Amino acid sequence: MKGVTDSESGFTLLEVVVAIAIITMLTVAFAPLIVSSVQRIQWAGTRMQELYTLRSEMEKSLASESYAKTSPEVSTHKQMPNLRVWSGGSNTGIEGLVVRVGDFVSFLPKGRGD
Amino acid sequence: MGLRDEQGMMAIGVALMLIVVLALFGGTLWQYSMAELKRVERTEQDIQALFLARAGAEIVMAAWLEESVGEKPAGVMERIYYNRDSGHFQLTEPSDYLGYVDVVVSIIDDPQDSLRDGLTQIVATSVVDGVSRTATATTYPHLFGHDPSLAWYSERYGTIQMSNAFAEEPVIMRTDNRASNNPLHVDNTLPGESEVVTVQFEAPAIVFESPMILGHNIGSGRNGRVNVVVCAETIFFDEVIVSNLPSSKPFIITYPDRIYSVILKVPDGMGILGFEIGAEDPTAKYGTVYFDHGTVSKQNYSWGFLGGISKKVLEVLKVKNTSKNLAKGAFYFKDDTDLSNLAADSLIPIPDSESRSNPFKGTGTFVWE
Repeated sequence: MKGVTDSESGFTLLEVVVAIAIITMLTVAFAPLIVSSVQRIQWAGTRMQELYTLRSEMEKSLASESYAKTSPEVSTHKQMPNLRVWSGGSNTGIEGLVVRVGDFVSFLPKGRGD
Repeated sequence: MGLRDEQGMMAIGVALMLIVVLALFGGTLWQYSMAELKRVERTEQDIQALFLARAGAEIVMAAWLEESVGEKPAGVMERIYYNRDSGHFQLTEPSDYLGYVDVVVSIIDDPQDSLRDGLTQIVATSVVDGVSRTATATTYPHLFGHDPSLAWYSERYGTIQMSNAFAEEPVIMRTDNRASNNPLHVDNTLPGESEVVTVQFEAPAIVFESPMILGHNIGSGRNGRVNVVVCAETIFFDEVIVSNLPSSKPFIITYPDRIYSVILKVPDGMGILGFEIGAEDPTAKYGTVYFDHGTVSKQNYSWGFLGGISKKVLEVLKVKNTSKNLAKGAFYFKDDTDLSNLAADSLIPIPDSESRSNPFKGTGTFVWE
């Protein structure tokens, strides 16, 4: 059978090696860009899931004072006795918990949420 | 040009195409990843801003619930910052803060929407790294005592009316100050002469946002006795003045009683028992009452020789056997407490540590929009 196998035309070994070297160089040149992009996309997906989990945790903490006090996910909760946002009235301080879950911060007034 | 040269050109072409494809692929991937990062950052700031806005609204809501009628926060509040270093909310701008919240308290003025008209609205707008979010809380559309379904009094004139209606949700007693400054009072519209008339307001919680001055027009009013029964587990009073003009027979004519009293009752199936609060009678039923105004008193009148009212003495009402004024006080009240005739165990002071907002638990004072 003549044709493909018997043909003398084609690439020399040198040409093939050079071609592979060029392709490898190009791939290596673009690899960090592609790899870091893929890593960023993966991280973004994971972080987004984390954010929704933290948000859910925060909602639970704000819904229940006892949960806010005991939940291990709540990193800090502090009494805030002397915040006065209103110059009128009896100037009573406001007491409650500063609820912090991850980077989210909110406030749960004393006696509410249970 | 030989075949090998043509293949060489093709190889260069393929290499160039590969460069373009890889560049396009890499560039697109890079752009997409950067957009994802931006989206995550934006989402995080958005959620941070949302919770910060809710914190601002909660803080002002707490102040609103704690303050008495007439002293509640209104208008623009102080800007609230969250200090990252101390982990506290504060009113002065810290060097390192997560964001800030601006809160506005307003009364909804929308005559077209009778359900929302007159409700209190707290709008908190927070800003975190340029991302802004708003949280809005509105007082639950409570019933008003003047609503047609209750008709406990005239909104325009403040006159108390006979009505058998009771409410199964908290009721606000507020006359229309835009039309008149009349307090809630009794006038000649109540039937009868020289008889005992009992008017009852019944609801789980009743909040008086207008004064109740039963002797408002005693000089020209009706005769007889009127008992205003406030039947609720939790009662918030504004100014309260009851009146007492006992009958007299200075000559041959008898002048009748004009006695107005306020009686506090606890609805069936509600209240707490005496043993829970250390009362003398462990089985007695108690509710809670808050006298928010500086005036809680009884006006003692007496008839003059020729029939006119000759004497008026204002008696500050105090807890029986103590010097503690009722005004500005918070008490557990015993079922059937008559404010104009207080018994020793009628009122038990509520400890200061108890929050005013506690009675509102579960009543849906505010709803998030």
